[in-house]
Amino acid sequence: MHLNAEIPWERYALIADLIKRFHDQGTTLRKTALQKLVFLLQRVFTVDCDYGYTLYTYGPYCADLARDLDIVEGLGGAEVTYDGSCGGYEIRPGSTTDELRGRAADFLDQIAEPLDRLIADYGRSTAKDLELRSTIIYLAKPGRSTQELVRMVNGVKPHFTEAQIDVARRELEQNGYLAGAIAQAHALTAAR
Amino acid sequence: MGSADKIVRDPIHGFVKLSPWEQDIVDHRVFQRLRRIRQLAMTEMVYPGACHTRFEHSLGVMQVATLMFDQLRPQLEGSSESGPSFTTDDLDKARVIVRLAALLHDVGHPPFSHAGEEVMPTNPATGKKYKHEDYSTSLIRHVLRDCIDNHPTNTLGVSADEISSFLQNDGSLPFHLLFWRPLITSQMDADRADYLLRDSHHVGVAYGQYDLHRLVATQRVVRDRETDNFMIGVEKGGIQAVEGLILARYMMFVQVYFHHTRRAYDHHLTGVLKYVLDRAYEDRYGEHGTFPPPHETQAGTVQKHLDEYLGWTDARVWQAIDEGAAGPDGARIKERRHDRRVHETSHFPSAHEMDHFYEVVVPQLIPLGGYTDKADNSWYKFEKSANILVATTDRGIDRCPVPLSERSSLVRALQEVTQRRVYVPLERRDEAKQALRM
Repeated sequence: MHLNAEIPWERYALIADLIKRFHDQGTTLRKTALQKLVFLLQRVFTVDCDYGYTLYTYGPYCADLARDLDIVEGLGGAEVTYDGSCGGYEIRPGSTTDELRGRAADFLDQIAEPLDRLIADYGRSTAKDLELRSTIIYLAKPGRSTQELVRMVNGVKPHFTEAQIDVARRELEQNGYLAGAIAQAHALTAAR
Repeated sequence: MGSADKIVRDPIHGFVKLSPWEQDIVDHRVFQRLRRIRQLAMTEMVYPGACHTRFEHSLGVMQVATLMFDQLRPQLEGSSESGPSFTTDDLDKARVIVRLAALLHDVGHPPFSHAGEEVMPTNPATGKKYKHEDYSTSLIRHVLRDCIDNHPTNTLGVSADEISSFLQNDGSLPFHLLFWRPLITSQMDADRADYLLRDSHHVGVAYGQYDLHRLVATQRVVRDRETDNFMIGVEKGGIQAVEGLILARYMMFVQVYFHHTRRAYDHHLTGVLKYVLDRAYEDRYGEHGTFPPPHETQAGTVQKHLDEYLGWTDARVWQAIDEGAAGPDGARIKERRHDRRVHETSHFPSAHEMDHFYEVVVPQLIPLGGYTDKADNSWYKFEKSANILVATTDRGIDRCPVPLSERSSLVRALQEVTQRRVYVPLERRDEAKQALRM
């Protein structure tokens, strides 16, 4: 997939599309969910948005994606408000959400299938659940044993027990996300 | 090896203290090279005072990271079951790692700092260009290892691999180290905390000034309500200090880092580096006009690549420019005949303004040798997204922090700078202006 080098309309359209999809299903996209869902889209479904993620104690995070959301907000594609009741940000459609989606309609068509799947699987998950699952995917590597993976995730996120981590890991194994992430990591290793 | 701490004078922080171990690292050729890498590339062509180097900045980052660490440490030591568990040994070791990582975070910079990153080779593992951080971590693992792993005062068993992992964040860091990573890279990190003050001082502008000591004194460990994570935030009383930091970053971006003439010199520097690297190596490393890679191309070659890389400094490139051996861009730099900006959008262009720029303006200027630049391409780009948390209680680890933008109307009002510009060669400037008037 080739991103527009001058204006990354594809990235802005993806953000706008996620906002709309959440709105259409009667929920609201949140900042943490946006970060983790785009990470899963890149890592599991190999949708290349050229976002470089770094692991923090709060899971994989991309400053460029946070910046792009600010730009989308500035372009009128998102309304971002703080939700004092749970301490996170809600992102709702803005006046130009559809216009931004239209600027990279072909790109959105190409990734519609993985997006459908991602929203069906994790579109209603909590920030905490998404954070744990994206951290597991971040640390999954070819050749890394189940035990080692669980131990590493627990090392990064000690407020989850090893049992909780293993439940999430098994879920990611069963729905194929873990295999997708490992296959991509394997492909990158082979390219070296 | 010296036996006592040394104090180094610093124009920003007054004094920076170095242990005998840190002195040995500073005296290593890898670190000494930073004396010959300017912090702001050719910013001196606009602001003549901007001749400071990565050497003094690196000392400054270590100083600020230590101030921040020492502010936060007692909050963790005093934490009960509600807080993360850090042993005294964890914290002692983390302090050493934070200091050394801060000291060494920039050793991998190419000549002219970020301006040289345009000619980094491609990382075969990702298909993307290497960054200076990749060289920093490779130099730590391959060239500085002995000076770290085997130093006689390394009583805590700190390894080059740990420092490298801390900087690279390869996923192997445990929580008690990962927690400290935002001191090196985040919106409130020691890196930007130092460079804003230092660049401002040397450039001779007041825009980068903010209250560092207030910022440090108000840093707090907080627990994010949405995810339960422990993070580094600020007290209510630190809001103005953080606003100052964010505003300083915005002003320095607009006035210095994204200055239209300074950016023209970044463009010329890229041309110069491609030219001199192509003549030095041709396609020896698989690509034309790039530095030797920080990885092995054959078994046992990484040391050789890194030694080659260390030979590239500002002085070497300047010599090529002075000798007329740096190609057409070198000749422009030598005579200060840089390309000229002939059109730019507003700081925050709407989608329609961007359409006009790319569909109407740019096609008129490309035939005149024009090229575009955008704020997104600039290093140190301004990021509005301040996910800094503000504590709502006065003591302990706060469990109900709120985002800074909820407490600061100033931060809320700031917008991302997404300005676009077109440049043409000096001799085509009048034609370009004429074309734009038609």
